[in-house]
Amino acid sequence: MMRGTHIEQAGRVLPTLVGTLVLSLLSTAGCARTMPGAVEVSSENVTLLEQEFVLSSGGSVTVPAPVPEPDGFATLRGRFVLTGSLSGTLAALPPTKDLQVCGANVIPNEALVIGSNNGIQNVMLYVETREFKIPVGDPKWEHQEYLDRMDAVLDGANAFDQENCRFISHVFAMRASQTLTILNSDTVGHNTDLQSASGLAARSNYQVPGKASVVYTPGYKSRGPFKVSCGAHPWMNAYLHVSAHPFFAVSGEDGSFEIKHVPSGVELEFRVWHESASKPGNVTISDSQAKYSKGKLTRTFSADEEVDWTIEIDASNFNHLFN
Amino acid sequence: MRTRIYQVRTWQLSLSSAMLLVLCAGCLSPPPDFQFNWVYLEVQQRQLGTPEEPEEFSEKQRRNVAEILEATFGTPQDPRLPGGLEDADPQDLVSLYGLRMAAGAVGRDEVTQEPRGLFRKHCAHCHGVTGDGMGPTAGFLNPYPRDYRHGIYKFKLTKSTQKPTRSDLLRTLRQGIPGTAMPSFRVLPEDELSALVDYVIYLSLRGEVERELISLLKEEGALLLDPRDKSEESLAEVKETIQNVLMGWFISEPAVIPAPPAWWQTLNNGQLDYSSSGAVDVRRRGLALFRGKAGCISCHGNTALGDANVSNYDKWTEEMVDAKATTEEERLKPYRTSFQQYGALLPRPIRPRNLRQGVYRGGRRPVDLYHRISQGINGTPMPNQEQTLTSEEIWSLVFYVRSLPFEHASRPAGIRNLDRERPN
Repeated sequence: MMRGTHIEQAGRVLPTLVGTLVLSLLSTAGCARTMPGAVEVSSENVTLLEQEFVLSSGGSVTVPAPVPEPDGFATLRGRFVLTGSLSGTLAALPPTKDLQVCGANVIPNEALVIGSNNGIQNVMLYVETREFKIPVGDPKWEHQEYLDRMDAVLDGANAFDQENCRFISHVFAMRASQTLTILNSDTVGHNTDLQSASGLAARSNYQVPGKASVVYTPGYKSRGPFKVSCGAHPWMNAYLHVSAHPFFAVSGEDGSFEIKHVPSGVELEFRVWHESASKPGNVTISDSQAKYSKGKLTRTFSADEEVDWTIEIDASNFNHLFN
Repeated sequence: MRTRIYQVRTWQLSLSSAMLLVLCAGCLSPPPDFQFNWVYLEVQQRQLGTPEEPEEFSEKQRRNVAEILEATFGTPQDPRLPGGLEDADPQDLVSLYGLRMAAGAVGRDEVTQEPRGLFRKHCAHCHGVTGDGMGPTAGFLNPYPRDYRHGIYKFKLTKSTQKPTRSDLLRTLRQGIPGTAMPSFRVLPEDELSALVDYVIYLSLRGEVERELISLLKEEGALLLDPRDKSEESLAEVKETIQNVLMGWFISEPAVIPAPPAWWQTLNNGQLDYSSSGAVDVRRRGLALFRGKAGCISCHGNTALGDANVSNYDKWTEEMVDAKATTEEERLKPYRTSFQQYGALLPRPIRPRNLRQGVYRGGRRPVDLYHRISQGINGTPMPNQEQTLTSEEIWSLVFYVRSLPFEHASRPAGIRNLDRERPN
């Protein structure tokens, strides 16, 4: 009799328990989004920092760090070379639209382009100093050749062109004060989208009809290279770097680059950037005076020095492309 | 016996309700604290390392960013504006008086009886306390509420490279955004609307500064600005960052919109008849542009139903997807592996507008449409065409687009013959 009741009781308790469980599970369904929440701050630190940002310019106005003065100009050339072996090859990109124009030619995947003599194409080398800002338009820093082209309009052979549904210059650099002509050499329209995610360089998204062009004036530097894409053709992509000063170069087909009239007598910090390895490791440079660490390269040139670097970048930096 | 079972049930019932309550507690909106931009932190980590092996910023670095933000912009209860900047004073842009009205908990000031907490009362349930577009209701809406932290706004009457003006934001508040969950706040008094605009700009500034600070983080674990050892360089760098964000808001001004050509007046005089010979003529020109030079068909499609390019993402979600991948599942891979864990909403492809519905999010006045075509829609694939189309051409397009809801998609009246002439 007693045992029977227990069973009877269990028979009633069990559905209730299962029901509760199901209900609780259901109630969590809306909770699928986990919110990591705020970051704990120390109020003491906040108070210390606040003193620098007091309203109505009551705060101490910071004195900009003194800018060193160069004593002349040097010439920098070199080559980016791949060492080691890559674990695969990149397949061409499949065009999915406007096939009569875009499908006529093979569209290579330019995430990594190895040219003649193992040269790495499309590596960007640019100066980015942290301690001080390079004065723009100062003849002590900029050779006359640069001053003359400071507000040039980049067109003709220097324009940013797109043909066969591909950006001809996959990696491009310009000065913030210059104006860039964006050409469309195709017969289909392109939708050139320049969206610097960070920094003040103007963001713009242009419709460029077939065989037409537009001009882009960034006005301000970008924070490193940013993506350029085409809204109409999703496989098209390129990178643009907008610099305040003229000390940058993009490696050519054989991996070679040149930056003329580099200021000497001042320690310069360079960035080595590649779209598939923004801070390449395993890098060796044929110059004992140049220090390299995680994409940063520092060197002080002497006046009229001619430097020729061979920068070897190991294949291990790029093998993530082939996974 | 009966009584005992009844007792057990009471006990079970109270347990169940307790469990339900405990479980639901996690479902309430996060506490009114500014949320950290984990998504953008991850974007940077993936960029600094590789997507497979992201670089890890330390907890100290994250805290430093949060501390700088609190020192410059305060908290949701007590907002402040950064001062001590060289060339820009945020108070010229955002009024502290407005901020006080919009910030904090909903209620009234005890002494002055001025409203408080307007943002939480009207906006936060969708846009979130942080203005990250991740309020409690966000996941149920399509389109998702705007994330202000990018500082990108779609509907404005300034040049494409510029931010909106205050009156642009005010217009959005007054009109709402047709076709979305954004309602009109026309019934609010002027000073409350103005306070909300102040607060939206404030959240936008704060969010943009946060993104910029995160992109300044270095892999070596170095702090941006050590509170106990503030070096001149790092202070100058942080101040310049804030100032740059501010400058973007200072330079915006309304773009000049040229007056419509003479035919516009003639055709719009009295009852507008899209099948009149004059109207058909303009529509023919509009259609030729739509399919040709202006390139509208590449997204809005041959029939303007908005069905040609449906796999693009907007700027608010783009950083969480792999835009180059060919299938949707592959495009969403970065989101699934890296961003979902931070509560980011599932990225949805942006749909080109169906122009036959006659619903225009940025307003339906001819001048609104003119501006959308001329300056594009920021944050979306809609490009600006100011340099490539003449004002007359844009007005023809506006006329054509406005006529679309009145014709049958499969039987374009009066201009049927153009179908055969259309350029490829």
